[in-house]
Amino acid sequence: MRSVFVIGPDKKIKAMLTYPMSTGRNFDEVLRLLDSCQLTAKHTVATPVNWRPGEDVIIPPAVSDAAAKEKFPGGWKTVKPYLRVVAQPS
Amino acid sequence: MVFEDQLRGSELHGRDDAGRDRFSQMIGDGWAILFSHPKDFTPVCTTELGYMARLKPEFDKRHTKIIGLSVDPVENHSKWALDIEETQGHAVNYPMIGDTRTQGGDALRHAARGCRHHLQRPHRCRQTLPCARSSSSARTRRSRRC
Repeated sequence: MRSVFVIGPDKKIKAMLTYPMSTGRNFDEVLRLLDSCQLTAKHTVATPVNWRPGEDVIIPPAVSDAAAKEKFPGGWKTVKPYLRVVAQPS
Repeated sequence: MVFEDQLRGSELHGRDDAGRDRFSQMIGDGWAILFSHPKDFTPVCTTELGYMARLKPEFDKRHTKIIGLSVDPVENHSKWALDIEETQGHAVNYPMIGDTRTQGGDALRHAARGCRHHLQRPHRCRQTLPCARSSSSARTRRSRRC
């Protein structure tokens, strides 16, 4: 089996990929996935489609606007009530 | 799933540059990427492992260990590593586990099983997934009634 596991410092699996024998993996994507996992482990954010490090991220719906004000004092852009975009925290 | 617990007793053997041969010691307290390949001396994997060796400095920057895994013995890995360096231009610079005892990897089975229960999901999924399931199951019920 051609699989990849991203394992966190708590030794829990954060992500898992499985490819067929006939398809080689894209390890640049694994690196991008790792960047997202490490960022979202540190900050309460999610990364959108095709996100690359340094690009804007998403405030998860579980974070209320009141809580978001504390976490992101610089503000964010509300595209829809459930889709709030903010600069990537450092 | 806690990997260290699940892998205990699986006799996973490998080597890293510090001579550590236990999986839990290899990954330490940081992030890790475990990637499996079906068999040594196979063409697609030769290209993959060479590329991973090239990318290792990027994983080092992220304080992340990379570890390969297959069912072949460590001695085979060493011979294959020479081919990888010759054909891909990058020497394997990370440990490769030889899981000869379980022939296919208790690690992978445990991982797949454990993942169902413990794979951490983004917060947003906790809100949206139940809704998706409800509508989906409602459709199913409707179609069954029809």
